[in-house]
Amino acid sequence: MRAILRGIFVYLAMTTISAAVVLPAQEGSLATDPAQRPPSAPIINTGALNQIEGLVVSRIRMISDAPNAAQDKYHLDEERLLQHLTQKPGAKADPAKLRNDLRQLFASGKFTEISLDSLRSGEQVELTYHTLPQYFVGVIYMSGSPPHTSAARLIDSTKLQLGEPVTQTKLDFALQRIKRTLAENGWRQASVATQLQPNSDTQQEQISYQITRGRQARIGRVQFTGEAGQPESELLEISKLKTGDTVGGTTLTRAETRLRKKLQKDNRLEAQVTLTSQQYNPATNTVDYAFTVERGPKVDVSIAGAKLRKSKLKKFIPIYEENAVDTDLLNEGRRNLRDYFQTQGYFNVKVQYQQKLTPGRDDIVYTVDRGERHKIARVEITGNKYFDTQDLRERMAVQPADVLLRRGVFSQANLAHDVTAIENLYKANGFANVKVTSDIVDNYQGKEGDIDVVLHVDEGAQVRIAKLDLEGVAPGSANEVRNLLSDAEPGQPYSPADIASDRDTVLNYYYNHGFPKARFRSTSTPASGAPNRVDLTIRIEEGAQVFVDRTLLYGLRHTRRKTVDRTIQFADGEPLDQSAVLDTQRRLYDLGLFNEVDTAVQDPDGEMLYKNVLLHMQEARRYTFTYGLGFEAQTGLNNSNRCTKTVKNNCNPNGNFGFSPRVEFDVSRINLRGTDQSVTFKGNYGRLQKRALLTYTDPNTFNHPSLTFSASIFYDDTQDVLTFAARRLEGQLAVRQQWTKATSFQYRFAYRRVSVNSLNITPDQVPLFSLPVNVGMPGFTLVRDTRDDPLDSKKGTYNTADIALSSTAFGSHCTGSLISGQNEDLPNQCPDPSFSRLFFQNSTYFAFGKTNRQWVLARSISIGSESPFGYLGGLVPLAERFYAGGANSHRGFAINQAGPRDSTTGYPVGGAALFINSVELRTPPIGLPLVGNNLSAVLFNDLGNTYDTTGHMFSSLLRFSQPDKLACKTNQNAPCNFNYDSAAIGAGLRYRTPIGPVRVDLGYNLNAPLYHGFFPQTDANGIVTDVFGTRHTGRINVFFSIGQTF
Amino acid sequence: MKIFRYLCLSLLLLALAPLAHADYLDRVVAAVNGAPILWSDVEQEVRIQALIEGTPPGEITLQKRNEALNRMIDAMLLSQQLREAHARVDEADEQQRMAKVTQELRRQRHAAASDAAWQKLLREYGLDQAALNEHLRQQVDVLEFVDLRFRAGAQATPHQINEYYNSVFIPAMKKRGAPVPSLASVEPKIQAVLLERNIDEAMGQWLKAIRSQANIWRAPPFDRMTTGRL
Repeated sequence: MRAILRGIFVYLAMTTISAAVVLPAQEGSLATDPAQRPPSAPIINTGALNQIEGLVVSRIRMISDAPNAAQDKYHLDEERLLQHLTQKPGAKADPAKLRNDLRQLFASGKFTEISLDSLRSGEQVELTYHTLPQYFVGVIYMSGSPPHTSAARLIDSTKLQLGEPVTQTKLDFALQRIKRTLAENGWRQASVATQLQPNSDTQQEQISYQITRGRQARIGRVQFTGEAGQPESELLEISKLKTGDTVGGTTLTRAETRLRKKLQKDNRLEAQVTLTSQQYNPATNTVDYAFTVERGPKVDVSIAGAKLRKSKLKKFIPIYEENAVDTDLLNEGRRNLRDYFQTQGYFNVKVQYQQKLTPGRDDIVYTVDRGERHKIARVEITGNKYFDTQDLRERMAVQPADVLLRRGVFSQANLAHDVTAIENLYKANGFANVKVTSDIVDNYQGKEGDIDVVLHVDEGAQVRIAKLDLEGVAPGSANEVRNLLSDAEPGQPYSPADIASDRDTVLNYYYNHGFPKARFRSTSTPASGAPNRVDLTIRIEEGAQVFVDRTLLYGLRHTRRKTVDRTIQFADGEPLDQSAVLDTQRRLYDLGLFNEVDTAVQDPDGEMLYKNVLLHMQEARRYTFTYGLGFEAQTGLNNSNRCTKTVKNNCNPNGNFGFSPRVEFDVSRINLRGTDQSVTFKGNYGRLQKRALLTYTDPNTFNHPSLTFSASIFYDDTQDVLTFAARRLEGQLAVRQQWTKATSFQYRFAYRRVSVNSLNITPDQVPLFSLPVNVGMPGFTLVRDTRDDPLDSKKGTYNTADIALSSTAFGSHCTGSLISGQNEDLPNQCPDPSFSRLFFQNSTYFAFGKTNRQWVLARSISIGSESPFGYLGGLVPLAERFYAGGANSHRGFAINQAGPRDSTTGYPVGGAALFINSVELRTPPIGLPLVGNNLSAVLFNDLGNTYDTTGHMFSSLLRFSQPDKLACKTNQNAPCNFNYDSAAIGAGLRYRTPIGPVRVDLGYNLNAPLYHGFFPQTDANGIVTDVFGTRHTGRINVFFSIGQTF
Repeated sequence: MKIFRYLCLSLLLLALAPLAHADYLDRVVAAVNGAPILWSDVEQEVRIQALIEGTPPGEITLQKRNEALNRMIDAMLLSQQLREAHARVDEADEQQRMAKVTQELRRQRHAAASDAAWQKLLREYGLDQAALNEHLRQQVDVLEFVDLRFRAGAQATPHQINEYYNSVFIPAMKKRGAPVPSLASVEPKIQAVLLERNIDEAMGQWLKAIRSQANIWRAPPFDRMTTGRL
């Protein structure tokens, strides 16, 4: 009886509720679009459907009642829709089928209204569906947006999604939100007009908003109430709300934040600042504000029994972050303090707190009883058979003490985490009844303070799959789907985690084959007669396959359609592939032509089997100008005065420090001729460096996405080494080919003129190097990069091979002559600047140790060789030679200081061959206060040098001390030999940042070379003069840089 | 001669054209989050309501139809919420409750004696047992869902019971001239009444909230008994 009454009650309750809630809703959400709806809906003859039951349906058709319906397109949809109706022409009319068809047609999402009529002729009936089309959100334009309230932000505020159905309700909400956003930014006089432009062909509706903004409102009266503890005038000053100031988007939030911060600074952690009212006065265009400010009690947090910095206390006690004091937060603070002291080795720490509330005060005292300090001597795992101990240890946060962790890592939270992590690992592999317990043994092996943490694993029985049933998969794709299931096979462990992973894989497969509504369900039941075995059933509900109807592009003003078409990874008529749509979006962004690319499927929730894919692009500005003014500074600067045998003026082969003002100007033009081609100019001008680079880039050369052609002209007047300053004018044509994801090639031809000036060496020593030359040099570079992270690699390899050839055949020639009077014995002619250049680099990275605390062994070897040939033996110009030394090279030398040197001045002159071998051991993060896990260290060894010739390089590879060192040291006229391997050891620190590790390295050169040169000496009168002598290069070198060395 | 025959035939067709008018059979009159409600659904709903209320089929007014549509929109919202919550109703319980409601209905409408009388009554209202069952099944499911969703949170507090006893129950008993029973003796009944009222209120508020978030379209109110195009 009660149930019956309740049944009736529901009926009646529904009636009552409808009356209660429908009326207000009718005004808002039940609004209809007068432009699209008839003035009133007709009543249909009662039982009309039943009256045609049994009559033969002669014809079924569909008619759009919309004005200007695009009939061609419409007929295509009509055909597709009519094919899927359950009531077929020629069959007897069935009211149930007709009702079902009406629902199906509406569910297609193509129509806002549908009605069905009939025309009877004898025992036959003709059925006609009358429709009005549904339109979908297209491009949204916003004009007249006021300052500081961008059009993009206002469009975003509408919450209208590209491709979703346009309804009057959504339009109303969108308009409200625009007005609210404008009002929040002070534009309370603004009016917004909406204009809709439907396109009957695509069923997309362009929505345009025109804002007439009026004048920005100003702040009127500001009132404060409540117990603020400060006079209103002071509150007004703190809030910086001044009557007459304009109202901006952040005016209120800033005022509230300022007031709250001011009170919190005074330890009023529970201070409440609330805007109680804001009243707009249209007559004066001002807004009056009323705030309630309650300062609350003064909260004082202290700690007894241990010392802790105030900043740490604020970090651990969340009341400071939450601006509230309650039991939960105070307890969380207690746990944080406990965990902190446990990580410091006080594993038995006890933390309590007391809260004392007095009028106007809230005193909280945390009492810490640290107990004995401990060390985690051992972490032991017992009972594990399925997983070895190393696998389990890698998942643990509790760590025994080692070189880097003096006391190990332990806290109750960490231990609980480890127990859960190990249990989850077992459960994921079919051990549903696994139990992990922990024991903590103090004074381990009789050593006071040492702790042994033991985890006991009771694995229980492993559940395996007895039988797998795959249901609901179309026969054509059954094998493919079965192959996607990783370990869900009979005999394999039953792992819910693997099944969850398979679920994602299988659903992705379906989503990428046009089944957006695919569902995956799995059930497992105990297998009959087989303990610890389950029968697994995987049921796929594929849903309907959806195909691409048309691809509609919006927002192209300057970009050619062809440029965009090239990136589209799906085709009309093919199954709708979600990953292809995302890939297209990525490729469109990669073009660099668009600020924003939105992709959407028209009417994603509709049941149409053919759907339009929408791509809306917002073109970026085609011209970008960048300019700047600043200073440039450089150490190791080339001396401005020549330091030769005759001129000796503060030579200092280690270089000087210099600075200069610097002007920079860059301009780039993208979207060249509507394509992704671009031209950029970069230039900077200063006393130390003058540089200009003009580059034309054509990605997708010859319509091939893996080819990128570039042409550049480069002018550089700078110094690379201390020895000289070079002026370089270079033109280069290059094609880069991305062969695979890891492998790329570059084919190039460079033609440059290099002249050396400000030479610090004696030209008679190296007469040929310093001549101005034109070098024509085709080259080829192979790069293979499989590193996981180029900025901070942990695994993978990096290999490069670069081959280039300079020859008179490519236009290389001397453009100057020997400086007259330098050497009368040499004829006044110039050898060919013909030489070959080979350079190889091989770097590998190997990570080892626990997953969460990995060490990395990194090594790199670089070998370079230049061989001159041609007229008069050929020539490798000074600026083309190999230099070594510095933060990214041999860290036993200052920048470019390795290798042969001028015998008179001691300046480095570079070599014709290079060999550098570096080995680094990179530590896992070192947990330290303040820096957390961001700091790590390296130990390194760099070995190698630059050599006179390639032959000398090979003959010196096993020579680890400077040849003829004694002669060099004792006889200033004897030339010093630099053909040997110089070795350096050192250590460095790395601080992790988003742009790569910031590093400092200290290298110590174990066998620094001796060399002759002029060195500044200060006499007793403080006068500096250069004196010829013999010295070592600096043994200790310090480098600051960003990124790993290699 | 042939031309004359064609001309006569054309004139005849033109003359007969007004007689061959199209009859409107059905149409979509509302949509709740994309799910359509047909005119035929409204017609069925209003007839079931008339059957329950005992109103003759001929007295079903336009007003009733408009009210029925509003009610169906709410019911559709609740059904969608029920589906989203994956609420499952025990089928046996569902069948039992439906049978009880049908039995009570037959008794009230004096059609309990024979199935024939009951079928005749249903035919008078243009209904059949399947349509009625479907309607009742939806009602039962929604009731179960509402019960699950709101009963736990809808408590009648002692204060509410006291207040109801003093301000509603006692005045009502006095008005009827009946002796006023003690609070303890009527407390369970008052508690039940208040519980239902609280569930109603909570559901009303919740329904209002989901309705404000829902995408609802409905045709303008039915105000004429004509056929015509959209």
